[in-house]
Amino acid sequence: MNAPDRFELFVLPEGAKKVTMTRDTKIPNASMFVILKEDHTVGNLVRMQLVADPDIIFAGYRMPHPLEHNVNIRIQTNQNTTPLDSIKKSIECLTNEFLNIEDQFKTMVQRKKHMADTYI
Amino acid sequence: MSLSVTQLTRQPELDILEIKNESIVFTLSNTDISVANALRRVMIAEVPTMSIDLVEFEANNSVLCDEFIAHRLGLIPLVSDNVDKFNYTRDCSCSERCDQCSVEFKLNVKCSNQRPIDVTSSDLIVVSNNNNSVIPVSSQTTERTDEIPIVKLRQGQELRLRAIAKKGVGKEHAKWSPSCIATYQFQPIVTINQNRMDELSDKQKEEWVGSCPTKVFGYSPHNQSQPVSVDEPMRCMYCLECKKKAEAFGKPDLISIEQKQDKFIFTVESSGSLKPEDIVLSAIQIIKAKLNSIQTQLSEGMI
Repeated sequence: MNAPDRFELFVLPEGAKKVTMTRDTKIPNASMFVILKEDHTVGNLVRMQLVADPDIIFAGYRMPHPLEHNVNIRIQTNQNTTPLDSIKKSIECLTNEFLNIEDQFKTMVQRKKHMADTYI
Repeated sequence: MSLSVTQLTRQPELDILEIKNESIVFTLSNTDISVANALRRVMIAEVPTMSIDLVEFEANNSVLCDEFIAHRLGLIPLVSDNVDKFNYTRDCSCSERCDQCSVEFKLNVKCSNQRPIDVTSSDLIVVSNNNNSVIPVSSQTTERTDEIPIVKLRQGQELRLRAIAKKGVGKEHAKWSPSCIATYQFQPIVTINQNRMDELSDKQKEEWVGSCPTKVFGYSPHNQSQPVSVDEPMRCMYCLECKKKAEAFGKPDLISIEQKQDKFIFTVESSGSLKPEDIVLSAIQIIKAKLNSIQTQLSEGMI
């Protein structure tokens, strides 16, 4: 009856911003990013990439509530960079990585199919 | 000194071990477990397929109630190779539904024989005329063994309905999930300490080899130098029965089993709705799209 629509899990509401940033008022160079309609898939992916950066002092993610389909990523950096720049950099790294995986996968599939054609 | 993007980007390596019609096995190495897990999660829950979502019953006096049958219809895998050409119904420009966002099936079976008959997935007939590619997976072949039973009808019983298939993702309902299995495992490294092995009697060796429930080891008594060998390390499921056996023989260092934690062996099995390699490829592209949408928002609209 009053159940929420199932697609609320992954469809961004009209006019909502995918990502919002709030600066931490007490700690320098720290921010909280709220990403709407995402889950551990992206949360953990971005967090692990952030942690690999030596300029990051702290990076963590959480899903605040099981019925809210959002992730919060909290980042604190040192003086060399800002949380916004570091998350952009991390996502760029990840995009490159997945591009690389995609290319390799495509060529490997082609090669396998070619082999199958010649041997059968 | 900050590291640049190129310095921070990992260089993963991918190798395909096996492609079959319904499954694929590949390895991914030099990367983080979060990447492997993201790929696995997306393959299960976010690769779109087509599936029956709405059913209108015109007649049903079978033994199963309407809801029961509607649920069963939803779980029938439909060929979704053309899923990209469809819109999600909620995004489509039509008012309710149209050929761009749905496929209509009809099913009309009545039992007039003495013997009960099976209503199966091959009784579903496409009504929409523009696109005949979306059909039950079992209807691709003529083999009757592949048909999915829906309900049995006895004499006089009838089932008549219209079913509407829509595009969706596994997050919404598992019926849209394209993969039956999507897992990764670490590569097992199984090493036998040959010096200790030589100390065992032939009978003990045989008993020890037999202790493995998945038959990782091979025993060939004629091979003098190395009668016990690791034949199928990939079968190891880390039950450590061999270790326990070795301890029972008083030789705890006979065997070592480790995991190579930076090499992931993926096994993906399709439900039939998509080709396994398409599931993987589609998952990679979906993750890229996700990252891209976050990146655009970060570069545009931040305070």
